Amino acid sequence: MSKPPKLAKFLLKILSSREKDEAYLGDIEELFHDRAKCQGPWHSKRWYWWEIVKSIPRFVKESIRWRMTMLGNYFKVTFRNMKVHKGYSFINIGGLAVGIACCLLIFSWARYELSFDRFHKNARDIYRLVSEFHSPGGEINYTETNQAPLAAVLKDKYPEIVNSTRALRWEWKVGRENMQFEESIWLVDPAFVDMFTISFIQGDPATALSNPESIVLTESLAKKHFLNENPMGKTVIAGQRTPLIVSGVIKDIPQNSHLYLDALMPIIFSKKAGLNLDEWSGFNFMTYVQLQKGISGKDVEQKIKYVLKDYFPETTTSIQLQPLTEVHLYALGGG
Amino acid sequence: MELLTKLEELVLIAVLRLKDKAYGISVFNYIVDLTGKEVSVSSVYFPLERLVRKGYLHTMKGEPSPQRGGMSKRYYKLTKAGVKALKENRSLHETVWKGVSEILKSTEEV
Repeated sequence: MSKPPKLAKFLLKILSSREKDEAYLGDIEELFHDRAKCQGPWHSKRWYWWEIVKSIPRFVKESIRWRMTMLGNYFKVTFRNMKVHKGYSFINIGGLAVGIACCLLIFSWARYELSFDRFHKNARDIYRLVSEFHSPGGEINYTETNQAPLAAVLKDKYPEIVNSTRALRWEWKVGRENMQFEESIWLVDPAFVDMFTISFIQGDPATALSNPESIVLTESLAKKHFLNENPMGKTVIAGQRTPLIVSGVIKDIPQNSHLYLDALMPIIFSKKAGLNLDEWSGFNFMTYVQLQKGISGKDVEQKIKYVLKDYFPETTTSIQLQPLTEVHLYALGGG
Repeated sequence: MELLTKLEELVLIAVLRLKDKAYGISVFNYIVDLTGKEVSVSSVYFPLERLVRKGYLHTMKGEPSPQRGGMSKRYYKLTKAGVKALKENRSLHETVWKGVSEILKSTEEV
């Protein structure tokens, strides 16, 4: 006795939702056997397939209707149940809701905190220099600030270090006539805009930081003081009476970055504040280095750890590299 | 009283005739034998289900058999309402067709 095509039968069987569907399938099969006797297996199989295909739309429609009815029934029962057990349902569902909400919030917050500074194109190769001090009393201190010449020295001396920059963080009053606000200004080397991902809306990144008396504003700062005017080339007053020319406008730094600043200025301007950029005496400057792609930070750290001894043989200070992505979350030191 | 379609009428009569053995295939075969027309299974099936919905037929579940791949049959039986509907349709039919045969005969000769 030949059998009806398995696939076709299976197809309709999974769509069958009620008893009469099964009976129909059985009827078709009976006919199939009758036909097989008269016309032979090949013809009857073709007929079978054809009957099944004809019935598929009908079955699909019924199947959907049936499943929707069941779903509706489940809802009815659910709400009926909730009405009868109000208190318990409230505690149960409410508790779940609060739990899920907390979970989502915590997850979002953690994700945010971990995302700091990852948007920079070179983020994986940028490190902050940390100096490890040994004070005479035996204490070990860590500081994120280093000597002024260190950045250039590292870049020249070690081929693994592709770029370096210094940064000073100043809080300074900036604005137009009688409208000054205290803003966060970073004074940086020109390499800063190459290393970090800073988009210039106006102005040329290569030259914007060449004039010591110039300033690059973020978009919001420009709007704040210039509204819809074009700020390029105009003058803002910093501090008591220091005029600065606007040489560029950059997109706002995203909030998930420790470089959250309002404006950039060339670091050479700090000479006017009395800082000497060639001295080794002061620890005032944040320093960042960018390594060659793929090179391990730990390896380079071993190499440069005691570089200061080349200049000051008796020093006990050593250098460490802190990955850019850890700057926001991790304390200095260790390692 | 609702009018039965020709097919519904046929199906009801088939079920009546087949007594306890009326199910999808048997009704189908009966109609094919009677009318000589090659109707499809679905064209028998739809009227059967429609009549169940109208309340003229009621169904019973039958035994599964290997010939049906292990699936059970669905037997149909006439309800009281179904019997009544048939009777009424028959009387209507007689009323409508009264004297028509003679008219048909006379037009033939012309």
